[in-house]
Amino acid sequence: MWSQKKAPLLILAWLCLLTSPFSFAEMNIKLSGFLTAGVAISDNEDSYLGKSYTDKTDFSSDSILGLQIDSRFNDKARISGQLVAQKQNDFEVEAEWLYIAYRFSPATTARAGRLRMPLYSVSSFIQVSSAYLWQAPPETVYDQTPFNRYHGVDLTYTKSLSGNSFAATIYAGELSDDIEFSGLTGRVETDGFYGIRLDAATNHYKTHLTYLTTNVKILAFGQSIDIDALFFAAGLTFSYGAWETNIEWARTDTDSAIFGVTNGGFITQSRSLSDWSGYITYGISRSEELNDAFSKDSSNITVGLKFDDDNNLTWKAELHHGKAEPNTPGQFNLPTGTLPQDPTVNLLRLSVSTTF
Amino acid sequence: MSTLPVILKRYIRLLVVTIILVAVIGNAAKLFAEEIVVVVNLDNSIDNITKKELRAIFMAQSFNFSDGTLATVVNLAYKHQLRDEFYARVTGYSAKKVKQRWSAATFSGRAEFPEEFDTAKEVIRWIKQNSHSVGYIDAASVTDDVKVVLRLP
Repeated sequence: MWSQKKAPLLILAWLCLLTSPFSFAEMNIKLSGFLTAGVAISDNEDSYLGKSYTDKTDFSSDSILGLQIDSRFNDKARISGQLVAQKQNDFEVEAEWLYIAYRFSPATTARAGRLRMPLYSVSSFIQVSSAYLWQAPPETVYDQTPFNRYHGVDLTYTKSLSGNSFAATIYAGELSDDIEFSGLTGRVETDGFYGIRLDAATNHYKTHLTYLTTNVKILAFGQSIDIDALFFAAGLTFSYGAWETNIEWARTDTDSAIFGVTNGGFITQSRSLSDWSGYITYGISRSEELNDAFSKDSSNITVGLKFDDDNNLTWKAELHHGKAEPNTPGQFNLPTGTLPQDPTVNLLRLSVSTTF
Repeated sequence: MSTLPVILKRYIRLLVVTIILVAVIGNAAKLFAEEIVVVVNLDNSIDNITKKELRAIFMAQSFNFSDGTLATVVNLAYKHQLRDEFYARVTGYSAKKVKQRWSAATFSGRAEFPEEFDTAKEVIRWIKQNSHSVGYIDAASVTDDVKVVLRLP
C-alpha cells in the first residue's frame, strides 16, 4: 500500500535526480505552481460546509500552495508530480498526485500511479482557484464525496473533429485516504472501484457525465462503516459571448443509514466585462431515505466578483447565503442529532490567487 | 437665444468630423495591422492548419496536429502586444482568459504550460530545436528556419 509520508520524499529525490547536470539537458522538465491566500468569515457560530467556516476570521481554509513537476522523456512517456500544502493536512506537504503517463497513440493515453478522482467538472484542478470562476466550486455538488484521489490506472481515448473534442476515460483503483467529513476527521478505504467519464467540448459548450461504483469502508465516529456506493454526476457549461451558464448535478447513492442518498445541484450565471466577471449561483441539496438528523437538505444563493489584474493575480470576493431546511443540519457540520442554533448563514470569502 | 442653434450646429459638425476621423484612423490601423503567421518545425509533415484546429490547440482542447503527431504550443511573453492580438484573432478571447484554460489543463495533468519567449527570434530558435512545436510571430520576422502553416492578416 502507498505510503503518503514517502511520496514527497520520492518526488524530492526524483527532482534532485532530474535536475542533476547530467540529466537536465536530456529531459524536458517543467516546474509550475499555484498559490491562493484567502480569508473567510460567517455570521453563524456553527461550523458550515466541508471547510468548517465559523464566525471566527479564518485565514487558512482557503489558502493553499501547490508545486507541480512534469518531465517528458519523449513524445510518448511523461511523469508528473504535484505537491500541495493546505489546511486539511496542517500545511504539511503532501503528494496530491504522482503518476507516469504513456501515450499509446495520438488518441489513447494511459496513466498509472496516484491520481485525482475525475468526478466533477473542475475536480481535477479544484485547488487552482485562478482556473475557475467561483471562490470554491459549489459545495452542494463538490462536497458530496469525501475523497478526491486514488491509486490506480486510467485510460483516456480522445477524438478531435474539426475543432470539437470528445474524450472517454475509464479508471479503476483503490483508495486509502484521510478525510474530513461532516466536521469529523476519519479515514476512507476501498478494495477497489471502477468508473467512467465522458467529455465533449466545442466552441460554445462543454459537457461531462461520470459514473463510479465502489464499496468503501469509512473509519469514523469511532467505528468502521461498510458502504456500497454509486456516484453519478453530469455537467454542462454553455458560453455565448460574455455570458456563461454552468449547471452541475450529482447523486451519491449509498446503502448506509448515515449517508443515505444525496442529490445536489447548482446553476451559475456569469457575465464577464473585460477583466471583470460577476456571477450568481443557486445551489440545492436534497437527501433521500435518511433520517432528518443526517439530512443535508438545504439551499443557498451566492454572488461573487472576480478580477484578473495585469500582474497575473486573480482577485475574488464572494457572499454566500445558505439555509438548512427545518429540523435538518443541512450543510452545517454538527454532532449527530443536533441542529444549528440559527439555520441561516451568511459567509464572506475573499482571496487572491496566481499560477506560475 | 439665436446663438444656441449655431453652437449646436458647430457641435454636430465637430461630432461628425470626429466620427469620420475615428473611422478612417481605425480602418487605417486595421490595414496596417501586423500580419501574424503561425509557424512549425521544418520537419513537421503538415503544410497548413485550419483556424479551427489552431483554436483547439491554443485553447488547450486538443494536443495533436491533424496527422496525429503531438502539438506543443509556444507563446510570446505575457506582455508582448502580439500575444493578445493573436489570441483575439484566433480564439476571440483575451490572452488572460486563455491562460485560465491552460491553468486548468496543466493542473489537471492534461498538458504543461507553453514555453514563453520575449522575441520572435527566440520563438524561431525554439521551434527549430523542437519538432512538435507550434508558435506565432509577426510575418516580417519569418526566416527559412521555420515553416508557415497559416497566415492571419
